[in-house]
Amino acid sequence: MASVSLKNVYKYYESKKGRVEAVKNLNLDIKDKEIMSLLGPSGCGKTSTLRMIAGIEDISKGALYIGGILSNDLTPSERNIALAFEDYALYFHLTVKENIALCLQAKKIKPNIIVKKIKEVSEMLGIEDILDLKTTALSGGQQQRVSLARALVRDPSIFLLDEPISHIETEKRYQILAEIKKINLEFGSTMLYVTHNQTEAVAVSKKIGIMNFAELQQVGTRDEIYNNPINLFVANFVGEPPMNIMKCKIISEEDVIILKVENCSLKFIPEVKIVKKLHELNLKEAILGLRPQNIYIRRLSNKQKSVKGIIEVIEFLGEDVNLVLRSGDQKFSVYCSTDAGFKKDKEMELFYDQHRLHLFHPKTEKVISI
Amino acid sequence: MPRISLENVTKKFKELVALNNLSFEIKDGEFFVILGPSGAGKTTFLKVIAGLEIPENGKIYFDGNLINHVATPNRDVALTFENYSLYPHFTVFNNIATPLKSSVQKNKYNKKQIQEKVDKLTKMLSINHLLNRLPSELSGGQKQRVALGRALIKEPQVLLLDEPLAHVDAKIRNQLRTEFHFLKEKFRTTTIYTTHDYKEAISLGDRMMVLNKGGIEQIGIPEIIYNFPKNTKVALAVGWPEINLFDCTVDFENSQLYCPKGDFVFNISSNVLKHLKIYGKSEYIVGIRPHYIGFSDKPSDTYSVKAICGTPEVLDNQLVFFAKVKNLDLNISTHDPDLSLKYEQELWLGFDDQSLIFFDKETNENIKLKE
Repeated sequence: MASVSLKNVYKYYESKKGRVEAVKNLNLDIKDKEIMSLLGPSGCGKTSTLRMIAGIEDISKGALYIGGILSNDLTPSERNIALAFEDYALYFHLTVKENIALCLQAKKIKPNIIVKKIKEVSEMLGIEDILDLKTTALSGGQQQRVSLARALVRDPSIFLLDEPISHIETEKRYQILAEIKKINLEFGSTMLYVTHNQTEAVAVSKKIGIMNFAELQQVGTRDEIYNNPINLFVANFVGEPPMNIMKCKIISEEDVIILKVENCSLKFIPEVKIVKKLHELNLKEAILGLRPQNIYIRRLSNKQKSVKGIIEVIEFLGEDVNLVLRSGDQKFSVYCSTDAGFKKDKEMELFYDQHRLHLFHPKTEKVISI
Repeated sequence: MPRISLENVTKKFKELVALNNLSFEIKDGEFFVILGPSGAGKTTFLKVIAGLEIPENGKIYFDGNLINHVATPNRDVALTFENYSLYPHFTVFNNIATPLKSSVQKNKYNKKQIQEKVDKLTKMLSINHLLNRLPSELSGGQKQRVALGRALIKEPQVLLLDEPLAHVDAKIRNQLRTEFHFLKEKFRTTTIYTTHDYKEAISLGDRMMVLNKGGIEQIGIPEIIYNFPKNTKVALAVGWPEINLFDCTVDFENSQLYCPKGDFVFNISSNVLKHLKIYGKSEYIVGIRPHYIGFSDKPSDTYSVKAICGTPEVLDNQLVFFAKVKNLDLNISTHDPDLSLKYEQELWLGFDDQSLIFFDKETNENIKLKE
């Protein structure tokens, strides 16, 4: 079993228009037996990173250590890594069973053990009925399960999974994620899980790395990333529905520093500690972030401050209600649990905790913290 | 905008019954959502309304006029496809303008009018800045808007949307779903919208239908479908985590329910008991949604059922976990993601009888609807 460590890793692609940087100065450590997920929008460099670890792509600059050994020049097979891809990469002239068995046969594993392993993995992923079908006869979700089965059936030191369940129906996804976690616990394999879906990332791993524009933005647990996003991108990317983002002016009103949102009557009062910091930085403007889940329809404590908005959309979602409110030109959303008789076009008072306000620098978009 | 009525509509593909004897009405200007898993018959239904498939049996009326034999171009409907089906070699502008230039329109619009119409609509859809791009240069969410623009440009009487949000990622889905609320108020076209995502259905539908294997399970406003599902299938089709369903026997003397699988009893109020007495049976399938199960770390009158907590996970703003009561696994969720629960911790559960749904054990039908 092995740890994975990337030191100052770059990936360039040369094209007609010049050099494209797919991964920039990446430093990432995945401990032995750990599952880490790499989360980011499409084109952020997460798949390139995974392919470099697998040995399918060369590393343009920097060092890759697997189990503490410099592995830049090892072949994919020497790295003992199992891969599952989003686009399946199955052998279409073989049956499901043959696809799964192939790498085991190549390793000269005894046939009776292969049969046993295939039985286990196919039950786990719910594909035992289709083992004798050709892969061309399968739906996208089924093909993806076969691809995942082929990776899971091996006994590698590292699993690299690239959007392995994106085509599988929602109800089944969480079951499969639970199985992936179980494999990690039982066999102590190191895993890197690449996805654009934050729910999957949170469900499968404790530690999450967030990438954008070829760079690693932040690494941390779900709570760290959710409660203390390092910049505006992370704040906006993590959390559903997305964080409310408002541009505001920092002004003084009756000796109190307030954040006045542009083109509307919304005013937020930041914590005193933050006000000091704003003074130090000599800022006149800031970007304010507040999560829809951190705005409440009832006052929960007398420390809470309030704002007002007019209800534009009431979105009933079963377990929750998503409200879209408006003040002047600014729209913002509030997420609450089902109840309360909301009325469209009605003004309502809403409450927030000062320590839940996120402030970002208007130019650098980095978080302003004490 | 027409009212759409169906009478005993059946559509078969050889032996397979895709739509089974559907009779119902979609109101004038209504936003009607069809919820069902893949293979339920959603797309076939839209094609039948559009005239792309001819039903074997039954009648379809627009505003009382039989349209079974009216050809697609004369029905004044617009259909968007799940995979967008944009012309890859046309710009966004030309993709959207195509319906206005088609032979059916007989040169009704001159160049300037087309320009104006596309301009106005694309502003509404926030794709005005993309008019000169090719589909390959657009994101999934943008392609969906272009497809929508092409459907809306000729101001159809009936808009048919086939899984419009199925292929955009979660973030954009959230955003577009909210935008549909604005769009539906602006256009007020009779719209039929299909989806396999229950959140879309209950969020957007003025009314919705749960379709299963070509047959109607239930039609109603979303709140009714969610809170008063007609049977266990509907109950399972809406809500996540899935509703808990378990068998219970009523002990009429002690006002209690007994669950054999979990080997526990809990009290129910005289009101509920009366209702069950009137219905006349003593065994039911009881349904309770995961967020209605109360729990505490100490036993009390309210929280009386002992359970063992599984691994808690934060998913979509909810803290979700299994609780094991003997052989019964219960899904439980709460909106407080910061709550600290430990794996294998002891918990005490409480079931508020107001949130219980009772189903007949033989028919799986909700007993309340039978009144």
